[in-house]
Amino acid sequence: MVVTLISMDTKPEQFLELLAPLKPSLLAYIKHLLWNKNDLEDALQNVLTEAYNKFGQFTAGTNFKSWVFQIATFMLFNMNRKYHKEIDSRVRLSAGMDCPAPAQRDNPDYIKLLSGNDHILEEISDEVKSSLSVLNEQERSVFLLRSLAELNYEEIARILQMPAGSVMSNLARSRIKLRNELTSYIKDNEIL
Amino acid sequence: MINCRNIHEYLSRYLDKELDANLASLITGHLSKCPSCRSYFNSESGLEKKLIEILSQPGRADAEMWNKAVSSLVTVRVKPRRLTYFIPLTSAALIMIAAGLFFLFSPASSSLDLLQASEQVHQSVLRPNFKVDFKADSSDALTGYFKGQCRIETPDCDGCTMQKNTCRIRGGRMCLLKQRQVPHIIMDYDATPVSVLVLSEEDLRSFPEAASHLSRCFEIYTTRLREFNYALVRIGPNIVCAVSKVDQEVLAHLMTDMGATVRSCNECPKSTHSEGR
Repeated sequence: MVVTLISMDTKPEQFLELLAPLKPSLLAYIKHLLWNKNDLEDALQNVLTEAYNKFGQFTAGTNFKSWVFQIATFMLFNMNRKYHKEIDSRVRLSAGMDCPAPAQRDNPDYIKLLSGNDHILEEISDEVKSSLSVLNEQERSVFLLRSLAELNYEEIARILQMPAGSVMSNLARSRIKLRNELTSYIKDNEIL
Repeated sequence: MINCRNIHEYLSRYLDKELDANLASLITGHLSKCPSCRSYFNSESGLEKKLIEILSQPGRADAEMWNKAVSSLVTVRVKPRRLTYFIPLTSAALIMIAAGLFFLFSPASSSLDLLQASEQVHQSVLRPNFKVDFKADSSDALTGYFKGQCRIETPDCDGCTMQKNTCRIRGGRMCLLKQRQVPHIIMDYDATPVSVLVLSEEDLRSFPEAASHLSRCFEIYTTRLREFNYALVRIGPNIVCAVSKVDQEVLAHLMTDMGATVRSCNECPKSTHSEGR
């Protein structure tokens, strides 16, 4: 019988050292990309375990953040796919590849959102989080990889295996959709 | 030519600093001259930042969830092998040396703090309701069992029949040893449970008596303290403590097979010799 305690060697230390700065962004990414919020703990566990197990394949000196987010994206897509099989989410039904009209610069509700954004957005922070549901999975992952993980278009394209042009269009579309959703909410709820 | 109408096409990429240098400088130039576009772009940029800030807000349980997931990465890899059927000559030689050392030195006092704490953990294994009772022989089943706690892998388990082994790994878990979480491997040797606890140097600091002994001796074996036999051995960077009712030599065998190297312990004070051999 040979017992090797890999928890005590340098591998986990290196891994945890590289992982620590990603804690807030990776947690937020998993939280917002996962459809079924009840699976959050499992998802985090699976992502970290998978990354840890594959850490031997990571090339030192390359972009660890991008590498971890690629693993996370792959795993979350799989979890979402399983979830979709169980229920038809409203996102799937509503999210299309149509190009929405951007919120108008002269739209008073949008101007309200822009001019008083800090105050208003704090007030509707729950709505901000749930507004992500108007994005389809691709738009959502592009938007979150850019905004939370702060990856560039090229890195996002590599992770999602899509052309950089698609990253650009998905990102623009997701921003428009989010702004339109929040503008409608402000208008419907008469938020000043 | 950038103007107030077409500048919006570039908004997203400009905010992301993904425009080529020429186009970015044209936009910067327009913004510096046009207060209306500048104000709009600043507001858009502020809105984006605020959205990100809200989406990044941590939840109340986030820290706990993260710590739990990270601690689950404490992994114990176990490669089972038939002990009874195949004992290398080198191991046999080590066992003989170890056995000799028991008689000569076998240090450790009955009050050794780490042994007492380990014994308490081992007592839980002996309770009738204690179950780490999987009989899996595939690594998948083993890893699934310890999800979220302590994971055991059997990477070279192909073809091995754990149930037939005289020494069989029943399972593993993280256990509390004087408020320190340490991996606890539970084995059966001829149906007698053996607890193996694995500590780091940092864990050892909670046990000053054991630390003091181990600073003088490489390994400590003691026997028949409240019917149990003990082994406390350094293996690589770890301190491994085994507790069981199995024969002391078997325990030594297990230790050497785990990779413990036995070396002489001339500096051990007489007072640390084992009791009741």
